[in-house]
Amino acid sequence: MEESHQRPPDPDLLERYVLGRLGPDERTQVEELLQNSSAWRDALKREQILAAGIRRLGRATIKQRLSERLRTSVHYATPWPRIALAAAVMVVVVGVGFLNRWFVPSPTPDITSLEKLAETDDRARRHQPEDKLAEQELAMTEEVPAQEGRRASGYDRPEK
Amino acid sequence: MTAHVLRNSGTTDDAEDILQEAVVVLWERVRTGTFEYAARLETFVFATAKNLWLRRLARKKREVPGLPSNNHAVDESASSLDLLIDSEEAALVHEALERLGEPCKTLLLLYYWEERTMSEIAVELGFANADTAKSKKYQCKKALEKVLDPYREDGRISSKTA
Repeated sequence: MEESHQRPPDPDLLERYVLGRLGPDERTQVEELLQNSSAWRDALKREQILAAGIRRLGRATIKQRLSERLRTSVHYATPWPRIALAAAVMVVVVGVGFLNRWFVPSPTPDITSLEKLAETDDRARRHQPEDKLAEQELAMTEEVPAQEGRRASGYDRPEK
Repeated sequence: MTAHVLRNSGTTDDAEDILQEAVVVLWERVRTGTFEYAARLETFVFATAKNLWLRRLARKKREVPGLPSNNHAVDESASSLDLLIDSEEAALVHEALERLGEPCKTLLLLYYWEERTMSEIAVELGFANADTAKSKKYQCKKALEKVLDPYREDGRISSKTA
């Protein structure tokens, strides 16, 4: 078949051929056209170069991200000298701490005894006015001892 | 792998670069579902890295005649696109894409590299529908071809097959 009678290159078909998206029948058809037409072969070459260039950009983009990620992970990789320094500081701090009894726990108050203490205290506060009253009564009896004392004894002595 | 690159005219920077590229190739294959390898992953990565380096060496040799050749077989399992990626022409397309800017750069990356469908691209880039995305892709390709025209005129990108 003369080339002039062949169908012109179909960009969409060539795109899908390059990307491997053609079914078996279409693929056979394109391969036959490629075999018989220099126009189709030239068009395929252009399409392949475009696709390769685009993929090259894609790979370069990913490689750059990978490279950045690796640089970041190297930055955070185990810095042994710093760890050694931090460990040394820790040893000093802990040592000083033990010397100064920073780590000796103070006795933890027993909650039960605290509650009892609170009750006792509360009771003490509640009883205080009565106690004061009793104190006052006691003070009064001490101030008038004689009179209060006879009365207090209960004898009706005949007055002389 | 570093030793292999160093033994074959490379530097430690080359080795690092090749390793990263091999990992990216693995990622591409897994993402597109074309990864089929019976051996261990590290074996795949090493084999890929080795072949990537050989191809790069072969290209360097063409540019700098006299570099030692080691008669290693170049990876025959690589697709034609894989083989073209390291070419100078692909490098020029890469450069042209950077100049093209957005949204064309992202659209073409999503279609050709991530192999997304037009519907997915429409959603991702906020186009009305798949047809609108397809139309935009066509415009972007036209714009890219226009940027590449000077390279075709001066022969840096061949427009005809041999």
